[in-house]
Amino acid sequence: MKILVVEDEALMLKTLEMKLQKEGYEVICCSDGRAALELMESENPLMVITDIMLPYSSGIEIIRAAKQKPQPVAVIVLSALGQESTVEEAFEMGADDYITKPFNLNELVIRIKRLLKKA
Amino acid sequence: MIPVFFLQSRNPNAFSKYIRPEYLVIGIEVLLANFLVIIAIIYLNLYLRKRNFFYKKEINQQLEAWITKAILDEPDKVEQGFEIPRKFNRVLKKFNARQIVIDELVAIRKELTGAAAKNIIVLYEQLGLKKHSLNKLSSRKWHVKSKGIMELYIMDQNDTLKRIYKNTNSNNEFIRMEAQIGVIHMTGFDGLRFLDVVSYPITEWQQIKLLEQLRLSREDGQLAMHIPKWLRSKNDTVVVFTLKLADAYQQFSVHDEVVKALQHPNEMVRIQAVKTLVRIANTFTPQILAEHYENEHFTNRLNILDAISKIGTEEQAWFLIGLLDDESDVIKLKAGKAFAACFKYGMEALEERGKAKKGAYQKIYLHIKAELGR
Repeated sequence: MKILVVEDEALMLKTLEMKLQKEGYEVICCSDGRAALELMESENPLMVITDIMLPYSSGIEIIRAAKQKPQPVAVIVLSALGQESTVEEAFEMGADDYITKPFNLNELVIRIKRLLKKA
Repeated sequence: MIPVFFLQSRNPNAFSKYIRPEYLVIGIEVLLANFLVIIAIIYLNLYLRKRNFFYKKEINQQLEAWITKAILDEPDKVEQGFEIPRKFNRVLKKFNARQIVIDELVAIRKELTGAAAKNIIVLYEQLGLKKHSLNKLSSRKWHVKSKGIMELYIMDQNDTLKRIYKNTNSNNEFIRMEAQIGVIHMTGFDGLRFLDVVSYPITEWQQIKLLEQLRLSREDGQLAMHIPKWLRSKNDTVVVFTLKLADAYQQFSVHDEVVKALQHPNEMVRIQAVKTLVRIANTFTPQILAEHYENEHFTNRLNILDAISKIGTEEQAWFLIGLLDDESDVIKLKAGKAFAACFKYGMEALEERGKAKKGAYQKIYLHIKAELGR
């Protein structure tokens, strides 16, 4: 199962990649919105985990692109505290779940499993 | 050369009346030399930045995989301590490399909780980076000291609380801000005891940051005990911040103390007191505000009318009717809105008044009607 992870902090991105690989997922990583949109087209992931604030393109654009795809793509948004209005916008665009930073990695994995089970 | 050309094309005597040509030449040469120096400084600066960038990238590439693996290790393995490769110890001997690693660990610590966060802290301690942060507390440079404070509290080094607490009333604004956030980060609401002693102003921005930091802590129920003391502080910004605390945490039990703040000489305190009273109102609050109205300046009068529109009752009807003839149209409008909100037949009464008196009254009625959607 392919998961696309979009996060601009290099160490955080690496940590998410390794954690999800440990859980048995195939992980595609990128650190900006533009690359994320390209990878979504080329790799067809089942799920996208994306930060809201990204270079070149915001997480909202990624959610919009994910929801416009013919096959369903689940989206989990990583948001910082204080971004509640952006989270609302993310849900209006079709995001399936969100998790606020700081977060527990195991909790993220539980949410991923739950969403993929639904899908 | 420009001066020579000038001399050739014009009357040389006219020009040399103001400045001697040789001085002009010297001036131009000095300017050119300065220009070259500036270019050299810019180039040097860019070169150093580029060098630092690639150095940081190199350190990150060397350490990233190992740090990530350590962060994701199981707790029972972590208890035994991480095995640090020899080459990393060599790298970490360099001051810059240690700072780069601390910055990375702090950045990721801010994003994670649970077992991963604990591992980051163990890693930070085991790599000897705590000492690096502690050394910063002795620095005379404010930006170094405040960074040291931030690193220590982000890494949950609670044993350094006393040293950080000493800085909560520092004469440097940035050190003070960081220390205040730090003590709250480490101890939650208990950290607010710096309000007992802080003599410098707590800026609006700092108040927002403190409230945000407090949101992450569980309120321990002791807040109401301290609020009356803080409301009597000689530091007006402490009083304002305390009122915001009473508002944010709905401290109904301190209602009467907040009412006393309506008599405070500082207008900012009185403005916040009105806002707080809306949140912790009881049955007497609307009338208290109405009676206080005459003692206030224009800004806070508007606040009081806004407050009454939210919590007012029919008891304030006559007070509001009296304001509908105020010389200020803004007051008329606010009073009209409050009247419509408090009084069951308020809109009908405003409509009648608008028909009878016309002009501003009619516009006010129509404005309120449109706003309330009635």
